[in-house]
Amino acid sequence: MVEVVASLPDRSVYLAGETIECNVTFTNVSQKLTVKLGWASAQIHCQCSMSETRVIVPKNAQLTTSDIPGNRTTFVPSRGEKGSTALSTKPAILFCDLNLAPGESQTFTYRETIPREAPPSFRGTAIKYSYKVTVGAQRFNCPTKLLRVPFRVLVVPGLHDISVYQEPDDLKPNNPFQRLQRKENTLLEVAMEVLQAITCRKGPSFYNITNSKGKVARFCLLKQAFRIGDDIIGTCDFSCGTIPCAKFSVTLQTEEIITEECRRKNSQSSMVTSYSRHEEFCLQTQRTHISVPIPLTAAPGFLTDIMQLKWRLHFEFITCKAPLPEVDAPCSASESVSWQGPSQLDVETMVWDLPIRVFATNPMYATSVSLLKQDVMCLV
Amino acid sequence: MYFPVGWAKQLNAAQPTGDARPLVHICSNQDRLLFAVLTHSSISIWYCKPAVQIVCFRRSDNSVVEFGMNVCAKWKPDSSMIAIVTSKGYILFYQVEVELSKKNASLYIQKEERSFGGKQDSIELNNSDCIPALKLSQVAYSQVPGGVTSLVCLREELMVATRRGLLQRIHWDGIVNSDMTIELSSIPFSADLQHSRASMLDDRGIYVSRQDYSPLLGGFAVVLSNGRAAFITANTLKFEPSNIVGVWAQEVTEATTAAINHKYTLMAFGCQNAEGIVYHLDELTGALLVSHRLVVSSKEFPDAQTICGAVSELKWTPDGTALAMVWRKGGFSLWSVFGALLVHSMGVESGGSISDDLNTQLLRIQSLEWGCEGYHLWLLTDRPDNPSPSPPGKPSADPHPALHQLNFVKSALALNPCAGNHEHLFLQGEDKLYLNPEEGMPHLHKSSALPDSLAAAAAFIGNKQWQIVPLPHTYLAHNWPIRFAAVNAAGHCVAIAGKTGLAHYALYSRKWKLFGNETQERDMIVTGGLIWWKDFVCTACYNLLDQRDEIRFYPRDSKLDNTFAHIVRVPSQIMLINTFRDLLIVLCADCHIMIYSILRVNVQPNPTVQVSKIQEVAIGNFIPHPANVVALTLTSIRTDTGPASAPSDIPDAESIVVNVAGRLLLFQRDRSGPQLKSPKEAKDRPLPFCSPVMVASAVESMWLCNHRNGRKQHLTEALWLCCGAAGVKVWLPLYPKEEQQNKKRGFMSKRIMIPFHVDIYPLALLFEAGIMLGASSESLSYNASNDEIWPYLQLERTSHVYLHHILRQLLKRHLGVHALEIARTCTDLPYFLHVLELLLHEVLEEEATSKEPIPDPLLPRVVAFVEEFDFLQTVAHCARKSEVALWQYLFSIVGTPKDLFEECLLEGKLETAASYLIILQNLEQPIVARQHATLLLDAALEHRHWDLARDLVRFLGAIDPSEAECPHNVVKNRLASAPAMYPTGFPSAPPVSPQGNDGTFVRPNAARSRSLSNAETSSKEKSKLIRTDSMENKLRLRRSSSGHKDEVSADHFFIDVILNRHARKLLGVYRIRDLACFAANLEDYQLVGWLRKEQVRAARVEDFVAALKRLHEDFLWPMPVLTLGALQRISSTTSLSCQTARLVDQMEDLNGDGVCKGPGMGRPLGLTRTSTMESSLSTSDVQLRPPSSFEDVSHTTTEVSDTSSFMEGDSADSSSISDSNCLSELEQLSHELANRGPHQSEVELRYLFQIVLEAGCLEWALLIALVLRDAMAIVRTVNTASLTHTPIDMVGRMREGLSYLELWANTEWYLICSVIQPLILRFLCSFGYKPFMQAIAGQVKQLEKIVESNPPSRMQLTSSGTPSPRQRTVSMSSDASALEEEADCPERQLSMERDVTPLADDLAEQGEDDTDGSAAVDNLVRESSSYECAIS
Repeated sequence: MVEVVASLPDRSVYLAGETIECNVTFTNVSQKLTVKLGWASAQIHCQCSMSETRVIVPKNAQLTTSDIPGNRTTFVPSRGEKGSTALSTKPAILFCDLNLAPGESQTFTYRETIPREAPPSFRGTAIKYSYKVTVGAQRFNCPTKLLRVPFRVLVVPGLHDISVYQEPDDLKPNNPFQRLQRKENTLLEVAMEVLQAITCRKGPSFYNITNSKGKVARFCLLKQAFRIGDDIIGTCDFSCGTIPCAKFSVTLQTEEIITEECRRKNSQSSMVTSYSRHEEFCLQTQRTHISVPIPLTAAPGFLTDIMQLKWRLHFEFITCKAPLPEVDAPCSASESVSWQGPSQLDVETMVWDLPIRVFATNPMYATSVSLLKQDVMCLV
Repeated sequence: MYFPVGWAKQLNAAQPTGDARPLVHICSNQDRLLFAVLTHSSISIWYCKPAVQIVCFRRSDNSVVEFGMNVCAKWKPDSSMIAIVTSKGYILFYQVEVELSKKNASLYIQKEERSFGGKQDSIELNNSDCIPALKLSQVAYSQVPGGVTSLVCLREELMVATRRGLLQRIHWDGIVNSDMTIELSSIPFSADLQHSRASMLDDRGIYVSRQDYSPLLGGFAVVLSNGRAAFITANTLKFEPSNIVGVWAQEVTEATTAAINHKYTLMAFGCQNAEGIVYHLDELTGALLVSHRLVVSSKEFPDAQTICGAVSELKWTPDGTALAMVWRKGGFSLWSVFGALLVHSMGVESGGSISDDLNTQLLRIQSLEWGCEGYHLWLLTDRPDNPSPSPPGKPSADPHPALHQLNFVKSALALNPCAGNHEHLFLQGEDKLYLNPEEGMPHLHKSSALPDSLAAAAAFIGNKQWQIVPLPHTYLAHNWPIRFAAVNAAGHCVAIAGKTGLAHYALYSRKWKLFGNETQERDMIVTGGLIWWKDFVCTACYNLLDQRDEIRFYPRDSKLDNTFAHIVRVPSQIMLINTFRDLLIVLCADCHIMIYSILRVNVQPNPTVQVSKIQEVAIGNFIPHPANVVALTLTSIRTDTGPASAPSDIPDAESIVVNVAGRLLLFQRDRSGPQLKSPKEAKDRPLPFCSPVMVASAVESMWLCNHRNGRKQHLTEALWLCCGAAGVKVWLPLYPKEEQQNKKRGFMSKRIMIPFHVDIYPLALLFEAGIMLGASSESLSYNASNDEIWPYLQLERTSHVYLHHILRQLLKRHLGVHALEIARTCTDLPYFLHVLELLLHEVLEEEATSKEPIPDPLLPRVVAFVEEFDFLQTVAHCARKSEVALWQYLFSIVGTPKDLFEECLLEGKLETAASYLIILQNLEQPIVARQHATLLLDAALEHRHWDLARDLVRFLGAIDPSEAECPHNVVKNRLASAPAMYPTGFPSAPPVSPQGNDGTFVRPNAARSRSLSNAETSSKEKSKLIRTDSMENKLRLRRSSSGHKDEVSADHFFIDVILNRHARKLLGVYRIRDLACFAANLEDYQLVGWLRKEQVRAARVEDFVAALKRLHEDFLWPMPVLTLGALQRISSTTSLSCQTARLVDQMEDLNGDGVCKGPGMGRPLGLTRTSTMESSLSTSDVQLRPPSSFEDVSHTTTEVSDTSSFMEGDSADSSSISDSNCLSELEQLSHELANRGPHQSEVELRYLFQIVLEAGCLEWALLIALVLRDAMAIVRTVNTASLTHTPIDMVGRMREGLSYLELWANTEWYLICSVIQPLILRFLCSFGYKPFMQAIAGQVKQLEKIVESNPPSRMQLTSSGTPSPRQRTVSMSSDASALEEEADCPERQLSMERDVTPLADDLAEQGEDDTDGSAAVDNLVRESSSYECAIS
């Protein structure tokens, strides 16, 4: 028996375009026998599973089995998985003919770059994209065994050509011997800078919220672009309103929109998933704020051939139809006045969706909350 | 602990009754659900959540005139009445009753006619509890002669302090209980209740101005009108006037306010001088002892006393773990129970334009009150008369004073100090939980902490993200506020309990589990805490249905339902609950501790537990009240007294640790009894516990490591305590030396208590990683809302490395052996060197700046300690981060920087040596610094530390020549005004070292600002900075005046000498690649110019073969491929092993350099196989080299495949190669050219070729062309030789060199047999040069021709004399190395002479370029000129 352990040593979340590293250790756990393994090979693939009631996939958009590299061999990484393969890298051979003495163990490192155009990991209602490193190994005269290490991929937009973010060429020394000291920005660094640039705070935006009867509140969102894991901070000012608002809620939602040609039914609406919600009774509040965390585990907004994911803040304002009762000032000096809150409020609900942009974050941070197993073991 | 977050929510405090006069007081009822807010004439009652006004009552104008304005209020404990004190000495009693006539007796029921059906995710209209419809009516009043200063509620009566020095008791119906009136002047006051003599107040005019009452303490904390403070108590709770005694609070003379904390038996008094003093009530003597003081230090905020004024209010949080303090002039602060400052408003940066003064003014808090469970702080703020300029577009400041609600997040430890919560940074907010993401460090809890997992931990500590778990609204709607929260040891599961019921959440599924049956939820109240035990939620609760106390275990994986729960009945209410391994320990309200054992039973379908009581311990004698017990745990640690248990791997629960109001009591198992003799029996019947010992006092929280790590025993077996203002204490075990242990078996470890201060408030400890984690509220300014009274506060994580504190304290106590032992277990920490630096720095700073002589200085001991580790680097870094003024003291102990510098050089620690250079420069004469810099430069060049060398060149260039001449007074000056006298700087240099802190050359100011010292105030810093600038200016002036051209050039000359010497050295051993790197990395080094000068000196090549080999080796350039003929002569096995050997050889070369020389090394590796076998030298164990580019996968594969292609191909046997240079052969060669070295090497070689060609070093040009196997380049070289003024001896050497090479290529093959195996392949490959040599034979001829038909005119140009070619050959042959070969040369020349091909023919044949020779030369000229542009 050979125990195969595949592990992602650093993290389980990567950016598309980064190189993933997977250590595969083969240990002969048998006491006496030397085991001979025929080959072992590793590959990254992204499995896309779709809800059949909602999505039709145009034939040309699907990778057929022959398109997947390495499919001619017995090593089929997506074997036994649902859905279609959205992406697959060339299989890399870890070794051929490996003899392991009893107790001996050998470690191989598999490195592969995740294509920049890869779709992000996503678990939606209709569509799911999931990534795995699949290690296949075979003992002589035994069936191939597959071992899958799941990982998560985040996509940062605008990284198709990272050279544009590098220092301009004229600053680069053209003496080839200076290359040792020249520091090339890695994709991760560039991506972090890009993210920083697009999510840094820009001027706050104000929204006057009104209904047919008048002004309800003024909402201020301090920025519109966020990274996952950030808090969405906004202020709500009711002091300028003319309509009393009894309650409001802000729900962070994603909208999963299937592209038109892939929809099963034309009338099909998008699928909405809610995350954190802030809810507050605000009848006698003048100013308050919301702080809605974007879960680090959620997928940032993205667009692929078959779907689009959009983020938004869904607001609900419960406004009173009539102003709160007031008590007249006392008519005489000996009269005391008592006021009591109304026992019933006639209210109406108003909703509003505010689109926001949500981007990826540093994959290290995302790893810290990811509960994906970084070590997977099987016996061959 | 409590941390404010976000902005304060502003409520609409405008009174619906039209009263706009200022808000004066806020006061909550006992369960903090209702808040009474007073203005001068009205009372309004607010509900706590939602914060909404229920009722507002405005007194008639007549009433205000008659009774006076409202001052303050008090609720009756049952919330049925409110008593209001008026300014004219009346107490008005108002009845608060629920108006039953209203529908449901509740208010604000929202009603909506919805046309559409119920929508998912939609906001629920009435999801919260009904807001009671209250009404207010005045029922009575009572006049108090002299007026009321304060009142407290004493069960069914009010205790009213009057201005006439009386304490009156008034019933809630307004009738004065005059029998019980206490006269202040008749109370005997003393220092304690035992021995001291009591005395009466002599001044009859004194009255009680403030008071606070605690039934648990049985007395009142009072502030007298003369500023003294005291505790008034009686022996019964009836407070009969005859029984009353007073105890002075010593040291207080200007008290303003008082607050009692009954849980910790503390009394806090606020003073006029903006400080607070907290007293602890000593149970034995009844005296008030100062526990700690609440002082905003000048480090936090200077001059707090004048800006803030007197303390106006003190309020403990509902759970007593934090104290809010506000000042009369403005400002707010929050302190932990034992005095650690958590947050203060003066320190938070106000957003935008608001200045500090205004900010504190804005935060002038009139009155404050904590909300339910401390999640909110209600603040009545009083805006200044001239409000801050409000932003345009906003109506100018509110006419109303503001009612604010500040949100808080608190540590789960505050109320539920169970084991799991200790290991995680876990905070609970009103509607979310904040958890530290832990997945980055899962291995830390394993016993074998791997270094890389620690690095991961370090990365994780840098991560500031929280994992936020929103609480389920469905649960919150009925059960707000959350009281208890617990996280399991792995950090994957959390559980919460609110008003009723409980809920739990799994992070991996991101799902909450709530009771399916809501009645079950409502029928239980979690009273004593919540804890995870394995996959069970264990809770101490009260069963409302059956009216009894229970412990319940709910399995995590099944539905949350009582049918799956295991329920244990307990006789009385449980106060606290905790686990230790498989033991459950609970504290009951009857002061009994019960210990249960838990056993998991796997029953299908749901697992359950078996719980059995094993022991009961009565601790009633040791604790005043069960409510005073803050924390309770079982532990395996013991004191060093008494015999130990038999040593075992998993020690039992040895002790119970109880935190009683901050005093830590340790109940240890009694092993002195007869049980010891029969261990079997002891197992069945647990040992009793001894009476307790007090381990520490003023303990806020404690941490115990629940897992063992044999390697880091000290850190995991210690007891860690957070003691508020007293910092952190660790009760550290000291293990005896092994020899001693052997002598005396079972000798228990001694323990030592080590206190130290930390900058953060610790909330969790990573035991093995040496780090504590905490949280703080950091302010963020958002300009969007600059009319907020408070900046946005964000909850941030903080961390602190604590190891150096422990080491220092141990060293201080002469326990260096133990310090060493601990440090040795921690060397794997990524920041271990940083710890040493901190240790050295802190001690240095303290001792060097001490004004008095230190009798027993610690620094020598610390230095000796650091010597055990990386001494040189630590000292250098520490010195660089310390002030220059401290250096003399430092180096008087560690040794002179000169010696250290030399030591660094010897050990090859060049970067560290560079650090010492800076130090040397400041302490020694510039000439010395220069000498050392020169030494270092040599070493740096030798070790190819180009960056360092470049910096050193700049450094040497920047040394002021005038300083070098008159050094003495300068040195003195330097020592006197340290930072200003840093070197002249590096004038034109860009930021010198890019790698930040590790950088060797940092501009002085930058270094200073990075200095660890924070003792200085900013003003001091400023003046220093200014001085630095001026000094620098002066220096610059001097430089410019004295900077004579000659001197500067002399200086440069001096540097150039060093550089040229090194360049010559490199070239002398043919390390031209290093030379190129050297030239490229040292700014302004003119390689071409230098080479031109050295054309016939250093740049000449005597041994072509050696030079060629060196080129191949340095550029990782494969030797030409061997031919089939060669292959046939050796057996395949040998060849394989040869290849292996060569690879190994090459790898060794690579590794030996230490520098990543291979151009491909830095690239992503496609596939690397590493072996775990020890025998890495066996042939099967091939270490694959990383491919450098796509084409050349790796050496082995390339060579093997090429060999095989030869075999298949047209068997080009070496013998069959004709001497004629036929076209087909050239073609084959060009194919072969595809088999090249790494792309980067090729770029480098071609670049170098241009350089040497331009410099006229044609020998090298020839060699490089040869290596490149580029016939075109050879043609160019030869052309250059023929067309330009090339010294004839150079041409001669070229010709000869080629001959040698050919000879080598032809002959060395036969030497194989005598050469050891690893070398075989190298020769084998070099043999492949033969075909190429033959291909360029034409060029050789050409060279020969040049030599022979040497035109005299050219000769004149090259040298003064006109020696004949023959003569030159002779002079050359006198060279020893060439001598022996001299004889062979003519023969070979002859052999080659057979075929003299003109240059143009060659070109045409190769088909590479269809231009003729002159065009090629033109090209060459163009290229070289364009090249010049490029490098200039």
